[in-house]
Amino acid sequence: MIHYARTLSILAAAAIAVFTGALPSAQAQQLGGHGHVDGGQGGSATTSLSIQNQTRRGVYAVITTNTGGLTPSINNIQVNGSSNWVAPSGPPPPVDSGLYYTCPPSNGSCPGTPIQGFFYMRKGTSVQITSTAGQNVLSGVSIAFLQPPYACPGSSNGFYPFVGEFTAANGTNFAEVTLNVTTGENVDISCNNGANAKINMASTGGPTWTNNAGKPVPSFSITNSWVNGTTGQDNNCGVAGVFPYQYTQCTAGPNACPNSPANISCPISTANNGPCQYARTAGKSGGTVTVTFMGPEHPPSPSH
Amino acid sequence: MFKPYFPAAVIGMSVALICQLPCGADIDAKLIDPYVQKEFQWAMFIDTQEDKPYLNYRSSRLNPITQVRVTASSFQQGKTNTPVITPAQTYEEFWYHEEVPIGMRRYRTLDIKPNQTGAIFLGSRGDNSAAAANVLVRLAVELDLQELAPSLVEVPLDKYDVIASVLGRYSFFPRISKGGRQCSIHLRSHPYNKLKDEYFYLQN
Repeated sequence: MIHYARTLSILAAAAIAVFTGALPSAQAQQLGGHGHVDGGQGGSATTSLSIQNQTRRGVYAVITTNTGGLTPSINNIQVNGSSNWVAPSGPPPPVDSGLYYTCPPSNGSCPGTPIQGFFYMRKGTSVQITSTAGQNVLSGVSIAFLQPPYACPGSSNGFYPFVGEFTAANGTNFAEVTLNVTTGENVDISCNNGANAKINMASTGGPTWTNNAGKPVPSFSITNSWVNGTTGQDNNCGVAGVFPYQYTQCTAGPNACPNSPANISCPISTANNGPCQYARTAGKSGGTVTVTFMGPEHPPSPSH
Repeated sequence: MFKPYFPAAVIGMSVALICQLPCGADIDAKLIDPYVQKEFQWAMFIDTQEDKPYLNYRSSRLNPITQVRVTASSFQQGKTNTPVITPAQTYEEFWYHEEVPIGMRRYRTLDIKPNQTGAIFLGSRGDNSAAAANVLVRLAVELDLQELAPSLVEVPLDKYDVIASVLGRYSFFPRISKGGRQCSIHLRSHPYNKLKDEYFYLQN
């Protein structure tokens, strides 16, 4: 079902891309990262990326890279300096500090250029993410928690070859970054496919960032909220730095999950990615971006 | 003319009658609820009762008594669309005089694996929110030690502010964490209110 939904989504997104000639950031991830506008390598000051598990529980973190981009493979990604990604051996899922490819069964095995990997983060831990591409180029890299991204509401996926998939009742979300590129850094949290985790993304130090209005801010702190995958309710409307449920162009469709309920909360206007991203002007890098797992996210219980 | 509509009317009335009980009920101590079982792998319910006649004698300094009962259940999330129909079992009971805990009994151990996603629901019964908040904090710390931190604590809207205030007494405040491991409580009101959906972090 997920493959069918994703195929439809990809086809729809690709069709839009052909007509518009450009792909927004969140939509780019829907296409496996092809759509990010990659720049050259950044200047001497680079932006650091860290992932933090703020909770008191263990959690799987999943990193997805940008096929065909400047960070084309998960093998380019280093976690605390290690890029020793290996194929997982089998159940039970690991709880150690290893780095594992996520290998969908559709591939039969891990593909030649794997784009996705996962690792277990113990409670309260933090890791540094770096890239062997260029000068720490992290282009179109996304970070998800609990389960792999791109599962629409009601779909399921998992950490293959481990049996037992996770059903994403309300879909899945992720943080995405494009850092240390000469064409301008940008970051956002995408809830296009729903939301299974509360993620905070915050910056410290380095050059200023801008949101839609173009007003520079010294730092940002973005936190997503819930999506109800059954009703299509979304609590991420108008939240700076967050792509709402379904709206691959921030303030408009096409829908990321065409087989799932439509977004019934956020108004539709002219497509404009600006409100859903924080960006830096070309060539500006530095400081730190921290992606924090705050916990699983759930919609409110229905009123009886 | 009338005859063909009769079976439909009977069926409709039957469905309406059947639905009256479960369809109109709030989440209760049994935790047999589609939302709960769809979203979580385990859940707890805190029920507060103040009409218990315990220790009710002249010159008693412990009356009135508030009884707080905690029930717990676990589910195989996502494995089946068939809801678990086994009612939750009593996990612990507490007794309070006003805000002071005076007794506690544990009925069983929890059979929930670490890192499972769960929630705690506070019932609407009773006025002793301070006692409920005390139990809530106690559970939060206990579950935290077992790596079972609930991802959500849902409380009635009219009790939210009191609970939030009492959490402050135990050094839980609604601020963003400054990193590292911190015990937290994700408090949310029912019915939902955007302004009453916050994380309270234990400030060291």
